[in-house]
Amino acid sequence: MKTKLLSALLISAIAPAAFAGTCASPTAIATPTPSTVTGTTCGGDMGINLGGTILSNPTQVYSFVWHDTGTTPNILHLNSGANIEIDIANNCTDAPFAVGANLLDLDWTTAGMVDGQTYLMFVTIDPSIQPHNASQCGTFDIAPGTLPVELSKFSVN
Amino acid sequence: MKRISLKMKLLSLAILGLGGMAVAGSAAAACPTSPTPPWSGKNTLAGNIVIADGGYDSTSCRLDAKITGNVGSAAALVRDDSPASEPSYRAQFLVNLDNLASLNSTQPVRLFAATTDAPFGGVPELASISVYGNATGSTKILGISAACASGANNRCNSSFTLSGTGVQRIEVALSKSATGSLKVWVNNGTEASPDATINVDNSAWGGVDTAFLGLASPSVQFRAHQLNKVVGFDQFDSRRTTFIGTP
Repeated sequence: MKTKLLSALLISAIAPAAFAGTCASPTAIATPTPSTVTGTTCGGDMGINLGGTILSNPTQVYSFVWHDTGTTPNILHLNSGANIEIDIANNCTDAPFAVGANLLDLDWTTAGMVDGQTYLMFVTIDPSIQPHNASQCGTFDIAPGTLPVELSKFSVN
Repeated sequence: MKRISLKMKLLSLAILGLGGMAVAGSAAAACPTSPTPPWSGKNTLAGNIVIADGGYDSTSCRLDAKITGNVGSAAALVRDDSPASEPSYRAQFLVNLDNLASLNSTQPVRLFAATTDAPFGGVPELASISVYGNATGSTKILGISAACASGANNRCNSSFTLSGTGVQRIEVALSKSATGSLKVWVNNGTEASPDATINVDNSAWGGVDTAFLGLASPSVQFRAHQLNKVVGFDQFDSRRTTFIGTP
């Protein structure tokens, strides 16, 4: 518990935009801090292949541990971010099992997620939008609501 | 290498075998409910795939794919993991695009991709085939893209205008080297005369590890106009070096 609190404080003390979450080192997100996930996809990994859903534009990768509270609305809402899409997957190779975008809240209530398991969240520009290059990126603001997660990993590079 | 070659051939036989499983008087019994096996997996994020009765070219079953959700991450595809860093890779499939009415130049969607686990420059697709239309939507065009060191964003592109309607037989051949190439044949059984050739330096990439057949990366306009339109696939075959051609 002490470790979790310390980690949460560290997370809140460092602007999320400073992280470059990648498949090799995803940025951990926690609840209740931060209450929203903000940042930019610029500088993120390109070409992450999620079972044929290829994220060809720069992508920020986050990790979180799922806890099923049974009562929590399990929705991610995109407050802002032009052409931003959010994918949830088990790892950096499996096909995503949930997706969200502008006007399409990500709802994982029926996704069959396992309590205590770590999942990855990918934030990227709509992968169908070309050209696919490092400049195809932008900022985002995602409200996880009361996303029931805890910090699973934290590092400062 | 020999073991992998056998594995690739077995996949082909397994899929062709589906066509031979027809049960007289019960078409539904001929087709399995799941594509796995023989396929390694599937991706139906905001998409749907169904193994439907009535294959193309004397087969009993086909794969019907459609995009159902308005996101660029959407997919309706199957995956073949049997290749193993293949420097030489061929694949052929049948596709029926007739339901994509008035598909125009703003509505591309991917049909096939051969990817590597060792990408370069953020590009895992060694080869990909997409479809879009001309400006008025009266003609369909294959978009052909290969990973290459010299192209903008590490891609080199070509295209081929489809003629007629109905089932199209598409074959691709990828070779990986500093003087590599991606060749494409469309309803064409003459190996010496591919319909499109892209000469590339793809030596910085690994070989083919995975193939994806089905719909993916639907453009914004595709999603606006072609949502829930079924595209049928059949007769996937992959090999290392031998030209597949027409039966």
